[in-house]
Amino acid sequence: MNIRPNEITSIIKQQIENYDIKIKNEEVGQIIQIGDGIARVYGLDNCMYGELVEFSNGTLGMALNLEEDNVGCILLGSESGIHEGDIVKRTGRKADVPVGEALIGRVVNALGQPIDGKGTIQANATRPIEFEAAGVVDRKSVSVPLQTGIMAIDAMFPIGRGQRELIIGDRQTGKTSIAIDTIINQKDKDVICVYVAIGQKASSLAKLVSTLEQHGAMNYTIIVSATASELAPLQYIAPYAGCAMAEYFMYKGKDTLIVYDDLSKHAVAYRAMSLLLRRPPGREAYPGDVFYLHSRLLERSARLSEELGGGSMTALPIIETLAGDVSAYIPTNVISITDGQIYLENELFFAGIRPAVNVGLSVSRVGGAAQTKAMKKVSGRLRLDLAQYRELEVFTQFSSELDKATQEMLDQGERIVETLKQPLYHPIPMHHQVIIIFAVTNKYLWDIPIEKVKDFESKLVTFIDTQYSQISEAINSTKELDDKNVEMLKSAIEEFKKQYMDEIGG
Amino acid sequence: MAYKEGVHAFVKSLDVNIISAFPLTSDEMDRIKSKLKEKYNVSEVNLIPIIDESLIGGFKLVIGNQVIDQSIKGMMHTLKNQIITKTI
Repeated sequence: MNIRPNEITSIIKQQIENYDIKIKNEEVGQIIQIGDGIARVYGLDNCMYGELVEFSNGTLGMALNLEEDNVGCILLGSESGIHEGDIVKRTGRKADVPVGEALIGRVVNALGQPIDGKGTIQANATRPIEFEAAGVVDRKSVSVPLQTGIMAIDAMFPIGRGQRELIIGDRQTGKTSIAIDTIINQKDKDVICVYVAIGQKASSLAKLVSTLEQHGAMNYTIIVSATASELAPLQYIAPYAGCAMAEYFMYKGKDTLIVYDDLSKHAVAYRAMSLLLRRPPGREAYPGDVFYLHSRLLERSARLSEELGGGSMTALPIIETLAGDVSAYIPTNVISITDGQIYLENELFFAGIRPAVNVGLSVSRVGGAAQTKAMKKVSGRLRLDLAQYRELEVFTQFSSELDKATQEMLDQGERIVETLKQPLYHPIPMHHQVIIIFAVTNKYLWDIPIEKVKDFESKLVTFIDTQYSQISEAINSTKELDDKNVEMLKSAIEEFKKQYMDEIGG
Repeated sequence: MAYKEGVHAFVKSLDVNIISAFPLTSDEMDRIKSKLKEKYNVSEVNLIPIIDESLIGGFKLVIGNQVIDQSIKGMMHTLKNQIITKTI
C-alpha cells in the first residue's frame, strides 16, 4: 500500500487541529545519586510503587524503593547523559508492555520493543506487567492435556493446560530442548506460545529463533529476550512482561504456553538489583522476597472458568541446578510453587538416554486428569515396569546366570528405556505414542533386538497409519482406545511383526 | 531542602519559580500569585522570575516538586509525542 506524502501531511494536520491543549501538571524530583543502574531521586512526592518515571535523556525507570525522603528507581535503559541534579518526571502509569496479535512471530525485548529488525509493532493494547493472579472462584481444574510430543513426558508425567511444570536439571541436560520440542508440537493446536529468555547468550537465542522458524513455530510464538548483557532490571521484568503478553490471550479465551528460561538467572538478576537498592540480603545473598518473586509470576498461570472465557496459561519454568542439588534455595522454592517437576539427570544424558528424565524423581501433580483416555489406558504400567527395571538393573553388571523371570523383566525394562528415547525436534503425535506404548507394555517387543527397537516402532506406526488407518483416526477423534480397536491393534501389530521379523531375517 | 520546607510550612508561605521566555508584567505576576495562594492555601507566595528563552512562549511554574508546564516548548513536545504514537 503506497502512502502518498500529502496523505501523511493531511493526517498530521488533522492531529494538530484535534490537539486538545490540557494543562500539564507534572510531578518531578531531582536525582541525588545515580550509578550502577540505580538512581535515588529526591522529590516525586506522590509516586506510586512500581510507577514508571522518565529521566531527562528519555530513559524510563521504575520506582521500587519508596523511602521517607527519597525514591530509589531502577533504570530500564542507558544511564548515559543523566547527571546528578537532573530532573525526573512521574509518568503516572505503572510499568506496562504492548500486547496483542501484532506481537506474534516477533522477537521483543523486556519493554516490548522489537529487536528482530522486522519493523515497529502496532500493538492495539498495553497491559501492566504486574497483574493480580486469578482468584480461586475464577479458576477451573486442569483437565485438557497439553501434548508435548515427548513420549516420556506425555505418558508418565502428563502436562495439562493451565498447569505449571518445572523443568529442572544441571547444565546441558536438555532442559531448553524439552521446552522447544513442546513449542514445536503446538503447531495447529491453537496454542499461543511465549518463550522468555532470561540471561542467555544472544547467540543461543539466535540459534533458537532460527530453529523455531525452520519448524514453522514462529507463526504462533512470541519471543521475549533479556540476554546476559542487558541490565539487571530488564532481566528482572522480562518474565513479567512475557506473562502479561500471554495473559492477554488467556483472558480472551485462548490457550497459551509460556516458557521461562531460566528462572535461576532471573533470581540472580533480582539479587543484583536488590543489593544495589540496598535491600538487606538473606540466604545466599538473595533478598527476602525471592519466593514472592517467583510465586506471583507462576500463580498467574491458570485455567480460567467458563465465565472468564475458559482460556489457560501453561507455564514451563526452567531451573538450573548445580551438581544436581535440588535442595538448594531457589530450586526448592520453585518446586514448592509448581505443580510438578521433570528432573533431568547428567548420568542418564551421557548414557544416551535422551530426554534424560529421571522417572523416580519426576512427578506431575495433575497426572491422569491431563491425559486422554487412550493414553491413560496404555501407560498405566509404564512407571511400574521402569521402577522394577531400575531395581534389578544392578544385576546386569554381574553377568551371572539369572532366573527367567528376572531376565524377562530386565529385557522388558531395556526395551521400554529404548522406546522412550527420542531425537531432538521430532515430537510424536498422540496416536502414535498410544500405539507404540501399547506395543511395548504388552510385550510385543520381547524378541526384537535392542538396536532395532526404534526402527521397528517407526515402521509400525507407518504401517498402521496406512493399512489400519481406522485405528489412528479413531484414537485421534475419540481420544479413546475401545476394546474393538484394541483387538484390531493387537492383530495389526502381530501382522506387522511377522513381516518385520521376516525382513530382518530374525 | 527539608529545612526550607519546614520553615515554609511554619510560616505558611510558598516559594514558586516562574520560568518564562519574556519577563512578565507586574499585573500578570499578581494574578498568578493570587491564583496560587488560593490553590495551595497559603498566605504568602514568593514568585521568583527566571528567564529562559528556549521556552519560546508561555511559562512554567515550579512549586516544590510539582511542575505546571504551560510553555510553548512543552506543548510542542507533547504534540510531537501524540502525533508519533497515534499516527501509523
